[in-house]
Amino acid sequence: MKDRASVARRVAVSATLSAVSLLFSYLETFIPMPIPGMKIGLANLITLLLLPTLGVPAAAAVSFSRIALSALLFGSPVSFLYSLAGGAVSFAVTALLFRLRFFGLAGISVLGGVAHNLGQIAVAIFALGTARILALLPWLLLSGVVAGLVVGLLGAVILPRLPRGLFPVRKEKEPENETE
Amino acid sequence: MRIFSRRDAALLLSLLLLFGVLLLVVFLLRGDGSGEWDVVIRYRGETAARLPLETDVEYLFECEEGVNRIVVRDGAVRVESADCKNQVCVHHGALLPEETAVDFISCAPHRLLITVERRDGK
Repeated sequence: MKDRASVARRVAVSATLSAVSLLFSYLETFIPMPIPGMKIGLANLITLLLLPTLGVPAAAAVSFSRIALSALLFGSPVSFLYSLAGGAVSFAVTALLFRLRFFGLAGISVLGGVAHNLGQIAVAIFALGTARILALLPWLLLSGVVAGLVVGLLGAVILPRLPRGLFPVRKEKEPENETE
Repeated sequence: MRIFSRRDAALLLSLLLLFGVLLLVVFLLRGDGSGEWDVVIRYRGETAARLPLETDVEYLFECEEGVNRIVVRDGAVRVESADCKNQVCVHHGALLPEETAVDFISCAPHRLLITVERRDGK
């Protein structure tokens, strides 16, 4: 992995974006939702912007620091476990899909959102000791899709407008463009 | 970077279809509410208490993480108060036997789960 951004610049950008995603996580708690705990996952937008620019290590570092700091500041050990499970599964799926280049940004983000919710439901089954939580599965699936779509479309708007000096696009062969 | 292609549209459609199917499955699993029911209170996955649903009672659940005041009244159970931050269990409202197969009250901070289940264990 080689790009023009210096190490220092990458660290600075990553640190700034960690702070931004932490802020997103916090601001989101003020957006009312029909089911408590449901959220858009705006912080995921940062992952979506970082993966195709600064790459997996930077995106992973930013995600993890956001989850750890958010739990430390606003959460509890239990909420940390939930966020970590959701975050890790979602991150793995998102990173893999970026690599596969099968889906567009919208599809990647939607599957990331769904993966996040599946990761959390898995922890919930384990933490609460019952599979009854699976009754929430349809709603978690739907909310993952909607949230992923919102984040993906935001990403699509922001990604081409990022300053190229700070966010060098990683050189990878673009496949044949399909209908946009 | 592509944003939205036919593949993404197909993905969205199939996920929405899956949502519909899952919703149907959950709906079909609902019981009819007849028979005898127990309120089952689980802590960390282990049954902590079983209360008959037809007997009005107030049960104070205490664990190292905190306290939940559970009230059984008129054939329904709910959490009246809890000392946690999010109050999800309190806002959940009452659990009714007709929704027994699919509904539950959970208190994630206290690792507490409240369900209504058939007395004969079915």
